[in-house]
Order: sequence, then C-alpha cells, then structure tokens
Amino acid sequence: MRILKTIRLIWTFYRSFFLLSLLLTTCSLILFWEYGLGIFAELFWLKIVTLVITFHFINSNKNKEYYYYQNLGLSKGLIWATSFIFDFVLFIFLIILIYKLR
Amino acid sequence: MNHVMEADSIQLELNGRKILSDIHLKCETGKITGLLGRNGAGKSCLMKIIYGDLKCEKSIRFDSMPQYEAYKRPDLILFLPQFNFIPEFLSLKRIFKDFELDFSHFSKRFPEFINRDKSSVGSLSNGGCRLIELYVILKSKSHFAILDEPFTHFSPIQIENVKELLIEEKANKGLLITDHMFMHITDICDSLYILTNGKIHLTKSIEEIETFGYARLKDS
Repeated sequence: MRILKTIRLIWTFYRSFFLLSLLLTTCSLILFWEYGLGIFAELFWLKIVTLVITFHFINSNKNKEYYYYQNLGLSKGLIWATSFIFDFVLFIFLIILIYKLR
Repeated sequence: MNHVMEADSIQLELNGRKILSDIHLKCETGKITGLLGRNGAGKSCLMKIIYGDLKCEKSIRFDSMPQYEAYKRPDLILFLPQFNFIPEFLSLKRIFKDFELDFSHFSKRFPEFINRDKSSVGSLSNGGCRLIELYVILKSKSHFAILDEPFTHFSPIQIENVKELLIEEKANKGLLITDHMFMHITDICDSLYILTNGKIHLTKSIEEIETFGYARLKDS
C-alpha cells in the first residue's frame, strides 16, 4: 500500500511536466525515424537540456507544492530523481523501439 | 506518551545580516506554543529551520534525539506553510486519501463541504482552501505540527471554529504556531515566545508583548 501511495504521489508530481516531455520525446522519435543513429547524440543532449530547463521552471513556479509531498513523506530529491529516471528511461526505451522497427 | 521537541544553537545569517542567534525553543505534545515577532524577525525562517527545510548551524532534537532533516519524518512533524501548498488540480477526495483521513468526518464538522469531495482544491475560496490544508495537517498522525499563519483567510466565525479545532487537536500533538492575529494566539497558547533582534524570549506575562515592542495591547 505504501509503495502504491508513493507511486501515485510521484505520478501526481510528474504530471505537471509529463505532456511537455511527451511532446518533446515524440518530436525526437520522429527525427530519429527520419535520420537514424546519426542524430542520436543531438537528441540525447536535447533531452538532457530540456530536463534541466524543466527542473528550473518547476523549481521556480511550483516550489510551494513541495510541502505537499514532504508532508506525505516524499522529499524533493526523491520525487525529482524518480520522475527524471522514469522520463529518461521511457525516452531511451522508445528510441530503441524505433531503432528496431526502422 | 509525552514528546518534546527542542531547538537551540541556531545561527542564521542572510546576506551578511544576522537573523537568528540566540534561540532556545521547547515544544511539547499536549501544548500549543505560540511564536510572535515583527515582519522579518525570522519566525518563518525559524520554523523552516526546525522543519529542516532551511540549512544552517542548529541543534534540533525530538525526545533528545537529534533530527536535522525533520521533513523526512512526517510521523514526527508536519508543516503548514504560510502559503497554499496543495496542487490546485487535486480533488478533496484525493487529498483526504493521501493523508489517510476520512472526508465524512470533515464534512460533518464543516457542513459547507458536504458533497464537495469531488471539487478540486483550486475551485475553493481562499478560506476553504486554507481550511483543507490546516485540517489535513492537524488531523494527520504526527507528534508535532508547525503552523505558519494558520488564521490567514478566515472569517471571524471560521477563526473560532479553527481555534476549537486547535485546542481539540493539542491532545494528540504539540503545536507550534505563529500568526499576526496575536490575540487568537494568546487565547489558545500554553507558552508564548517572542522573537526580536534575532533572539527568542519566553514570556512570563502577556504584557511582555508590549515590552518587546511587538504590539500595543491597549489598542488591540
């Protein structure tokens, strides 16, 4: 139950930038489909840079909401680390999938 | 079982200005501890330091055990900041589920919320939103709760209800409260600290509020 609650809370946090991230990932996948491995390095760094920008944006605009998660036992570090890892793993997984399908 | 939270040896400087230097604050379960001070005196900073959200030189102890990052232990302490902190899109039902509280108990006590469990917290008035935040912090299982300006946004009638709730809830936890509506604080607190010039003073009488230059009692 505790794990389910933690996942639910992290998903709630991740939702705040999920759509933007998904849009960028989709664009990256389209470019990867078109140009293949040759463009992977550019897409990789684009993903990293946008994750850093997202961090700064959320950190300055939604920082009051951290108290919601902290009062429920989730530190800022945990929610960010989990969201980023999930987001990045999803990105890499979809890139590999496109590579196999091409 | 009685629990004690103590804060001392706190040194806080911001931009070269000494904010807090001579602090000894004690909070116990079963009691309401009031904290007063002028704007910029460092009340919110002190609360964030106790909560572990603001890093500085300090000694924070819960039942004599040092705890530098209390925010990682919601079973020990919860924090109501002075601003709205619940994501606006969350429904009341979801918020009560997260805090493992029964919405029907809440709506029974505050009938204006009956059938509003599906409403998002962002759709409520400022007072309604603040009441939800205060209630979930007060009712959640924890030894202590820090409340930064809990009376903000409430009408006089609501303030009386909130004071009743605070008095009722002190049976279950220790409360550390600050608010500029100081008469409400003095009404309900068991001990009262005044923060002035970076130092904290445990008051022995209500008149000291005036002595320390926080407020004029005859005008209030």
